[in-house]
Amino acid sequence: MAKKITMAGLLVALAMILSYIEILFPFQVGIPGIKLGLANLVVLTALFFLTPAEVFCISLLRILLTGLLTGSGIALAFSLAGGVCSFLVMLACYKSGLLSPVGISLAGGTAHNIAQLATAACLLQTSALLLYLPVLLLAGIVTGICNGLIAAKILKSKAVLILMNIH
Amino acid sequence: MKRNDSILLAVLLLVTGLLFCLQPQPDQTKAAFIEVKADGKLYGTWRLDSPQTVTVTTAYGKNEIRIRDNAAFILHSDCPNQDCTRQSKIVNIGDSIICLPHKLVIEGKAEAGAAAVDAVAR
Repeated sequence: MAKKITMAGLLVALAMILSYIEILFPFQVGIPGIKLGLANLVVLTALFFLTPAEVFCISLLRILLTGLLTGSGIALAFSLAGGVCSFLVMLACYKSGLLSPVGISLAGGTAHNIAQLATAACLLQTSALLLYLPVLLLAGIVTGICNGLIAAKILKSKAVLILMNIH
Repeated sequence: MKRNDSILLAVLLLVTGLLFCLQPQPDQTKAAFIEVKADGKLYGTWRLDSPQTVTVTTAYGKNEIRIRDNAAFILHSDCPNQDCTRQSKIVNIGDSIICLPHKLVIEGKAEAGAAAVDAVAR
């Protein structure tokens, strides 16, 4: 149990650092709201060696703590919607056993962006935002594949074997 | 990548491509008014042919809208990310500028009454 809590704490810290790196070095493409989503790497990798409840806690803690440190209330609402939605989609994809990490990440990345756009459209009560949908979908596909390829590399490395031994 | 990954990728790309194609063509008719909505409610409308600076104050913060040469843009916002000040100007009907932190939507309209009709129809 203690080992597990330590591991979860380390992963939350790692995810927060990845979020922070993205704030420090924004990956700007001229369209507001598009980013790589490196923190998702932690959630995606953790799915393979922790229980869904543990991964969900890590994701939630990362979002709440990063939100408290950096953002406003509204930014937190967007992160939560995206984070919860992409977690559920990635969990379903992982459990189905049909997809490799790249496919799971692809599904999670697009789900994240759709959820954030839906949240924005609800909060602002405007359909003008729907014009962003194709652009955000494409962004979700590209960033999802990038993260998936990195996660696949991480899962193949020996370091992960150590993590898997915690059970 | 597994075969299923490729199928998922193909489906997503297809949907994205279709959405790009179905995108309505931007209206090339010049807008006569801008309509400002804060938090989903109508805040006010302004004519585009009278140059002025409008200050919109909401519970979330302040935005200054500059109207000049039949176009409108956000001159200044006290939000942290400043995305709204970088969005393109409102010239035509349907053009919009959105400030997410302040829940503000500014849209180009043909006439000031159009908003009221929309609200009733909904």
